[in-house]
Amino acid sequence: MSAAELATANRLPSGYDENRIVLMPIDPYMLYAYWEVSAEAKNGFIMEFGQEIWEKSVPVLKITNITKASSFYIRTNEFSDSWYIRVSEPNCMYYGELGRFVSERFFINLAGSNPVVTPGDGISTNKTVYFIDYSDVKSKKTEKQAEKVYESYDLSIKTRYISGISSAQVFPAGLHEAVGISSAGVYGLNP
Amino acid sequence: MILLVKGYVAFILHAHLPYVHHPEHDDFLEERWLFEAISETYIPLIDIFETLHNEGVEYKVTMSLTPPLLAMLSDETLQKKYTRHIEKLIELSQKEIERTSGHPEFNRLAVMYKNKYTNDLYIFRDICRCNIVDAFRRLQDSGNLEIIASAATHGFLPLLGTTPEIIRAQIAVGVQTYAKYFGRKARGMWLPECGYTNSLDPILKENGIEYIITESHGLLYASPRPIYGTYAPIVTPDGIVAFGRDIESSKQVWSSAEGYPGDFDYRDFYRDIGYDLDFESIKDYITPDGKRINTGIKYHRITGKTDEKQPYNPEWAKSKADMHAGNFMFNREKQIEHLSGSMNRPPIIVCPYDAELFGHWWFEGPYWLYSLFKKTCRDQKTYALTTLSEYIAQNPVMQVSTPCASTWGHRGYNEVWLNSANDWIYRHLHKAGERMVELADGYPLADGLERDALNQAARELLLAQSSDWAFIMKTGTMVEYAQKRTKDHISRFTRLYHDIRENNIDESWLRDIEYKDSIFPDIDYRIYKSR
Repeated sequence: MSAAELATANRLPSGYDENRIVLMPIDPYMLYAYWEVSAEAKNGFIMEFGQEIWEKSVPVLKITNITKASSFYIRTNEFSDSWYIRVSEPNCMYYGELGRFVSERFFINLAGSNPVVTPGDGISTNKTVYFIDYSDVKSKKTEKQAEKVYESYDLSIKTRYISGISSAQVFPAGLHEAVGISSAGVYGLNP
Repeated sequence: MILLVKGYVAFILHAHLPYVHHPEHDDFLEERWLFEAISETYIPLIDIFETLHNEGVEYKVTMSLTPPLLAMLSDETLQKKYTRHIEKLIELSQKEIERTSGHPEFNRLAVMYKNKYTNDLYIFRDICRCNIVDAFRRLQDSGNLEIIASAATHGFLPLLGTTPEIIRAQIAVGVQTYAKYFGRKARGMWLPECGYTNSLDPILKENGIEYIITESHGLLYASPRPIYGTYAPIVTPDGIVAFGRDIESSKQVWSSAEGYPGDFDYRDFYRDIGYDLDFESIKDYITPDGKRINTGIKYHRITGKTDEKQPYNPEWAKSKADMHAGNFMFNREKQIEHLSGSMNRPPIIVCPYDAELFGHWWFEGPYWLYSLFKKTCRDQKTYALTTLSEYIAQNPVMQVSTPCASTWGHRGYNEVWLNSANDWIYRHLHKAGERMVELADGYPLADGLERDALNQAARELLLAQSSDWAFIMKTGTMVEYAQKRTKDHISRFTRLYHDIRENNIDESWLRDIEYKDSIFPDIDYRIYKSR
């Protein structure tokens, strides 16, 4: 146990001496970030750029909307280790960076966050309608014959994870052929 | 007969309490949460389900009983404490019969409470042999009740961790606990706080879960747009069936302004003799340090928006519950008649509630359920009660769609569990989760004391993750206890982490925390191993 952690036995440490920023979604328009700059990262910065640059630079969060390819900066302060971040877009993937502004245009990255997706805030514009017979999926799974089915699904999931959630990507054309899904027309429905 | 109905109504009662287990204390205030829930909710529910069964009423209901609740209900120390608790209430109600002898309107209520508590003790000790989990299991085996699983300690899954292993353990331990207590595989899972994100789907799937319940907008905002809204389940690309809560029926029961429980004839929750009686009369039935608390004996009805509460009249309340049951049934009939005309399958109205609403908060709630189930089965033919798995079996063709990330908390997303009152917990929960994965990867073949320490580390992490602590911090009552529990479990975990890494495990301390935090005796820490 580190000295800092020993000293706070039965209390929680203020940090874990690690360099990280974690992003968490609160609702379609709000994220929360917490962070910590390790002594090693701070020293590395000072070694590379000097003590004066560290002192004159400003701690900053850079928030990137990956889905919409846009980003903005939030100037924080030396005493903050968390922030509530207002964002403008539901259903978008965001990424956060912790760093410092050395000048108005020169941002030095210290840590990068996990990606998060803001929840939706309205009825989906995707009107694609596919149906599936769940008992069919279940029996295939039971008989361990579902590999083909789930391979197809996995492709869609991979797409979803890598490039942000997009309903069109989740349901690639031809999915119904792979899993025996019927289209809405079969049921006489208007999507 | 079922095929003739136009639609279905599914009741889901979510029974959960956080793990509060303090064997080191004879009397611990927060353990009363369990005792109150046993007397006011769980025994009354068992009672009405058995009565309906004996009367030949083919009711259907789904319940989730969470692992912490199952562990506490099966714990011998807590069973003994509950027995003592109920014996004290019988003693208090006897004193109340004597004290109120000159006031017939209160005296008959004191007699009612004495009869109730005596009956509770009889059901608990003599019928259930102190283990009411067995009673729920028997009800499930009889076919009218379906019990579903929940996450290990009711962790709020959308915010719990930065790696899938942390979430996987909550779900896997929940499923294992279900199998242990109910002798069968869990098919459905109650996501704590209805907290859903699509990253849960593959983990649910690999743990054999077939269906979940989301808040209304989980389905209404799903993508692609579900053509039947919340009135039919959807299935995700991972093969998880999602049901959505019906807004209309929720409001009728939940709403503090318009909901049934606020009716003036129903019993008032807040007026309790624990606060009303003079100190000398009540001192033996409140906390040992003299802090006033609710005893459960309440003599007044809601009456109205006034402090001048009138005496409770059980006959009026019962009559009102029958009336409200009839009103609920009528509204579901109309709702289903309307929906069935525009759907090519029978609509399902999904009605999830906290089980503790029935009886604990809404005293007449269990009787209302009894009356509703009986009326539904005997007085109408428009809809039938169903369980979620039964609906899936009868209506397996579903639209493929992914629910929207959602919860049933205020405003429908994560803010109840992540706000300025509780945000500080997450850096510690996440770090502990990552350290647990590191331990599981680093010690794949531990045995003896080391294995015990690793298993205890897993227990401490799971206990710290309970959504209840963040919720209590937000609501502002009993905050100190919630903060202490979070800090205690994280501190215990952190010490174990370092002791294990430094090969310096303090056995007597380990045995002490194993005794205090004895949930999941069969846990295997390797559940956290990375894949």
